Amino acid sequence: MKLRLLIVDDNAHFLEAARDLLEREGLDVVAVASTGADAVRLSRLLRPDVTLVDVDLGQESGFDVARQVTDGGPVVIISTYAEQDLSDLIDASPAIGYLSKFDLSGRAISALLEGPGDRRG
Amino acid sequence: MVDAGRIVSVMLKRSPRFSTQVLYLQLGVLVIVWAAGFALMAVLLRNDLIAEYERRGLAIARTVAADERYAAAVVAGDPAHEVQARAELVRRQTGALFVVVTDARGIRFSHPDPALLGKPVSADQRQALDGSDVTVFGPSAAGDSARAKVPLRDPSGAIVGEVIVAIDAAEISSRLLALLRTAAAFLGIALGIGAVGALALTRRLKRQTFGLEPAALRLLLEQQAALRRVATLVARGVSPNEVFDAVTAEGGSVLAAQSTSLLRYGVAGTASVAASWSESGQSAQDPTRSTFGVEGIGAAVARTGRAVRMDAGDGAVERSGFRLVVGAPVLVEGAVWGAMIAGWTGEGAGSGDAEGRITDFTELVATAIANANSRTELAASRSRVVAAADETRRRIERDLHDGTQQRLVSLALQLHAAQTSVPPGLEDLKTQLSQATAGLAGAVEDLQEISRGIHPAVLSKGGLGPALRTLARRSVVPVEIEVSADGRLPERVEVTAYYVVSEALTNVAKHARASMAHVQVDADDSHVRLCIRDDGVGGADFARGSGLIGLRDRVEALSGTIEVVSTPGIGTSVLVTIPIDTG
Repeated sequence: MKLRLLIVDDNAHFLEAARDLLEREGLDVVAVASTGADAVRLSRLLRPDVTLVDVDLGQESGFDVARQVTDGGPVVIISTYAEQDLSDLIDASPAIGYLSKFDLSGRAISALLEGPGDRRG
Repeated sequence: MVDAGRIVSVMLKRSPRFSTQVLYLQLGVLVIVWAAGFALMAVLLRNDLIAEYERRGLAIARTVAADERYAAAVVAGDPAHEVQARAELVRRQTGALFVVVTDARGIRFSHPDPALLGKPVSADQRQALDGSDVTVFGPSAAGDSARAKVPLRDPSGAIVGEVIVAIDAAEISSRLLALLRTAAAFLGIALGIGAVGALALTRRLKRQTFGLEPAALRLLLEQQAALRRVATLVARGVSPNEVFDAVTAEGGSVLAAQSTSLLRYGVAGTASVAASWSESGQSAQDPTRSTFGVEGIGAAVARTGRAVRMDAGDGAVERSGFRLVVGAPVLVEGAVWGAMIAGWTGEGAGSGDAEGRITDFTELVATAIANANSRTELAASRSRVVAAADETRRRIERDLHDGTQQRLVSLALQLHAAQTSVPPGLEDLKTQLSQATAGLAGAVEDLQEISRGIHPAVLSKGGLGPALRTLARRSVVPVEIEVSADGRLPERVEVTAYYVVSEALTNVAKHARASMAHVQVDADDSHVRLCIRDDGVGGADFARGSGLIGLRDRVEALSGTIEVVSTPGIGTSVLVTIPIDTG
C-alpha cells in the first residue's frame, strides 16, 4: 500500500518538485498545504500516514503547525537548514524526525517512520 | 561676586562693615597701648626725678654737715651768725629751696627767712638726731619739695644738730612735663604710623577679599560649593531627575529659601513639577508630578523668558503664603524648557541678587538636560545604526533562504526525480546526475555556512536558548551552557546576547588556549545578564582586537554594560548586562 503524504510548505516550486519526485518514487501525496490552518483541516480530513512540515511558513512557525497537526499522524520537519542548526527545536517538537529538503526521498521518509526515533509517545 | 557683596551689605546694614570694625579695633588697641605706655613712663620718670632730687638734697646736706665749722658754731651758739651766712651762701649757690641748720633741740641757726632764726623746726627731727640720713618728698611750708636731713656731728662724732636741705619740687614737675611732652610727641607719631598701617591693612584686606564681608565670603563659598556639587553630578552624567533633585535642594539651601521647585513647561500653558524641595523637608509641590495649568510666577517666567520677582504685593504670592517668590528660566537650546522658582516666607530674605543666583543653578539644569539630550540622541543613533545593520543581515539571510536556497532545493529535487527516471542501461547519465546532485549539495552547504554567519535562523525561530546551544555544539572548545531565560526576549536583546556569546566563544577558541568555556545567561523582568568565562591564558583587552570593541558598541547601543576581567594565567570572563525594556 502506498504511503499517503501531506506536505505543508509555502513555496509552490518546492511543493511541485517534491510532489513530482515523491510520486515518481511511488508515494501518494494526498494533499499539499501552504498555511497552518489548511494543514490542520487537511490533516483531519485526509488522515495522511505522515505530514511533512516546513519550518518556515511565512509568518507562521513550522514547529507550531507541527504541534497542531500531530494529532492527525506522525510529523516530519523539513527545511533547507542543516539539521544541527535546528536540532534543539526539533528535539523539543513532537515531530518524529527531521529531513533536509535536499535529502528528501521516499526511502528517507520510510526510514524515519520505521526508525527508533518515534517521538509520538 | 560684587553682587554677592551687595546682597550682604544689604543684609548686614545694621553693623559696620568688617573692614571698618577691624580698623576701629586696631585704633582702639593703639590708643590703649599708647595711654598705658604714657602713664607708665610718667610714673617711672617722676620716681626717677624724685630720687635724683632727693640724692641732690642729701649730697648738699652731707656737704654742709661735713664742714666742721657749722658744728663748732652750733655748739658755741653761733655768736657771729656765721651759720646763717654760710648756709644762705650754699642755698644760693646750689639753688636749693632752703638750707636749715639746727642744734640738737631743733632750734634753727639758718633759714632763708631771718625771722624764723632761733625758732624750732616744725618737722620731726628724731631720726636725724638718732644718726640716720633721711629723705622725704611731699608738701612742706614752702610747697612740694624733696627734703634731706642729715645729723650734724662735732669732731668727736657726737650729734649736735642737723642739716635740712629742701629742693623745689616744682622744677621736677616742669622737667617731667617737658619730658612727657617729648614722649607724647613720639607716641603720637607712633599712633599716626599705626593708624596709617591699620588703614593700609584694612584696604589690603578689602582688596584681597574683593570688598566682600566675611559673611558674604561664606555665602559665596557655600554657593560655589553647592554649584560645584551639582556641576559634578552634571559632569558625571547622572540622570536629569537626579540633577533636578540636587538643584532644588542645594539651591533652596544656599538661597535660604523656604521652598524651591523646578517646573517643566508642557504644551498650551501647562507645566509639571520636575523636582521640589522645602526647608521643612516636606514636598512643597504635589509629588505626583502631574501636569497642571501654569499661573503666577511660573507663567510670568514662561512668558518673558527672563528671571521674575514677585513680592507680597501680588495677590497670588500672598495667597501662597510667601512674602517673596523669584523664578528664573531654564533655557535649553534657546527655548524656555522650564523654570526654577524659590519662595521665601521670612522678613528681608531673598534680598539682593536672588535672580542671578537662581540663574547660576538653572544654567546647570540646562546643561544637564542638553547633555542628557545629546546622550540620548547619540545612544538612539548608535542603536539605530546597530538595528539597521542587524535588520539588513536578517533580510539578507531571509532572502538567501527564501530565494536562492529554495531554488536550489527545487533544482536538487528535480535532479533526484531525473535520476529516478533514468531508464536502466544509461549508467553514465545516472552517474553524471548523481555527481551534479553531489555538487549541488556542496554548494548548498557552503550557502548554509554563509547564511549562518550572516544571521542565525535558529535565533529568530527558537530564541536565545536553542541558538546558544547550537553555538556551543559548533564550538571547538567544550562549552558548558546554562540558560535560565524563560520564553522569548525582545529580538534586539536576543541578537546582541547571541553575538556577545558568539564573539566571546570565537575569542576563546582563537586566543585563550582554554580547555573549557562556561556560558551563563540569566534573565529577569528588567535585565539579561551574560557571563562567558574560560580557563585559558587571560590577558584579553578592549584595546587589542576589534571584536571586544564591536561588542561594547553593540551592548552600549542597548544601554547595556560590558566588562572584561582577564587575569593572565587564570582566564577571561566577559560580563554583560542588557536592559530588556530598551529592546
